[in-house]
Amino acid sequence: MISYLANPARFAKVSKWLTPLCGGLAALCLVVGIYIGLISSPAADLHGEGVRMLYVHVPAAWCALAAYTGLAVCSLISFVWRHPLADSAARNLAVPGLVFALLCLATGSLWGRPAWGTWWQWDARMTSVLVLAFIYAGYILLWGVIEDKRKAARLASIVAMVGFINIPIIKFSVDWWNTLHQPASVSQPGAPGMPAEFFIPLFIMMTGYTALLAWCALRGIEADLVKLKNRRAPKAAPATIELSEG
Amino acid sequence: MSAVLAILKRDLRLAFRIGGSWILGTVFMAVFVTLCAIALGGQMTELRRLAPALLWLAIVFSMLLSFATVFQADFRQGTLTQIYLSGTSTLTLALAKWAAFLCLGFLPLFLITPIMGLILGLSSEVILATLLALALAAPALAAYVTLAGAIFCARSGAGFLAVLLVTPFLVPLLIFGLEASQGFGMAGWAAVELRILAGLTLLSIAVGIPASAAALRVNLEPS
Repeated sequence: MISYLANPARFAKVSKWLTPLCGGLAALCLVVGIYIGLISSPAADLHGEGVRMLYVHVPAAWCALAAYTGLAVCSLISFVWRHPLADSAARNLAVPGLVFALLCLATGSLWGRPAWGTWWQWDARMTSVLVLAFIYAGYILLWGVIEDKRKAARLASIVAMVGFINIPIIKFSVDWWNTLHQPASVSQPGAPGMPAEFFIPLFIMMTGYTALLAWCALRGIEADLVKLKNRRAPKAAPATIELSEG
Repeated sequence: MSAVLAILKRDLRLAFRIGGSWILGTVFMAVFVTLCAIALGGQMTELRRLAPALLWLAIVFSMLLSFATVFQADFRQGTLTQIYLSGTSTLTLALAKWAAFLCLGFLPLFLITPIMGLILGLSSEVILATLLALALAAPALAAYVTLAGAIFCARSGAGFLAVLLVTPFLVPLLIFGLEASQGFGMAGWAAVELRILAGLTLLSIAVGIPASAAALRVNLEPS
C-alpha cells in the first residue's frame, strides 16, 4: 500500500475522495457526539456532570498519541526510502498533533478542577502529555529552522524516531515517579469497563476526532502537492496583454 | 577502533593546547548553583533538601548548553568533512566525539560536583550517591548532547531549539538519576533504581549514537 500511495498522482486520486469523506465523517460525528455527550447522555455517579469532559478529553489524548505514531511511521518511511510524500505526511501530522496534545492538557485541566480540586498536578499522565507537547514543538521548530528542506526532512525524521523510542520510556519513568490519574478504563481486559451509555458517545467522539485529524493531515499533504506542482510548472508569462472586451 | 582513539586523542590534545574552553562549563555550574542558593534564600536546611536536584540541573544544563562544542568548530573548518571523506564512517566520528565530550564536557563538572555539594551543605554519603548516579547517567546525557550537536552542526545560534529538542529525552534520566541516588542511600548497591538507570543509559547510547551518526551524515553529504 505504501508503494502504491507513494506515487503523487495516485495519492491525489485517492485523496480526492478520501479527504472529503474524512471531513464529512468528522463533521457528522462531532455534531452527533457533542449532542449525545453533552445533552442526552446521563451524568455519572462519581463524577456527576463532570463526566461530560470525558468526551472531549479522552479523544484528544488518543489523537495526540495516534498522530505521533503516524508521524513516526511516516518518518521511518521517509528515512528509509526518502520519499517526499512521507515527509509531507509527517510534517502535516505534527501541527494537529500538537494542537490535540494542548487540547488534551487544557480539557484535562478543566476536568481536574472539579474532580481533584486542582487545575494542575504533576501527575504521571499529565506530565507525559506535556512532554509529548514539547517533543511536537521541537519537531515543528526543527522544520522551520533548517533552510534546506531536504536536510530538514531527514533530520526531523531522525528526531521523530528517537522521540518515538523515548515516549514509552518517558511514560514508564513518570509513572514510577508519580501517579494520581485514574487507570485507563476503556480497554481493561476482563474488566466490565465502561457502561454503554458512556461508551457510545465516547466512541462517536473518538471517530470524529480521528477523522478530523486525518482530514487536517490530508489537506496539508494536498496543499504541499499543489505547491510542488506550481514550483515545477514552467512559468509562461503571456506575451501579450489580453484586453477584455466590453 | 583505532580511528576512534585517534580522533579522541586529537580532540583532547586540541582542548588542552587551546585551554580554557572546557573550564567554561564548570564556571557555569558554579554560577548556576550560586544563583539557585541566593534565589532560594540561602537557608542551609532548605538547600540541603534540594541540593541533589540542583546539582543535577546544573550539570544537565551545563552539558546541554555546550552542545555546540561537540561538532561545530570542526564542521566550520572543514575538518569534519575531511575526516568523513577520508573514509571514516560517521558512526566512528560520532562515537569518538561522544567519548571526547564525556572527557571534556562532563569530567570537569563531575570533579567539581563534590565541592558544589559541600557549599550546599550535603553530607559525604549523599555526595557519594549523587556522584555514582551521575557517573552512571553521564554516557546517556553525553549521547543526547552529541545528537543535538550533530543535528545543529551546520547551524549556529540554535541553542534554545537544541535544548528544547533534547530535554524530553532527558526526563527519564533525570527522574531515575535522582531516584537512584536516593535508592543508593537506602539500599546500597541492591537499589532497583540503580539498575534501571544503568539500563536507561545503555538504551540511550544505543539510540543516541547511531542517530547522531545519521544526522551527521545528513549534514556532511552534499544535498
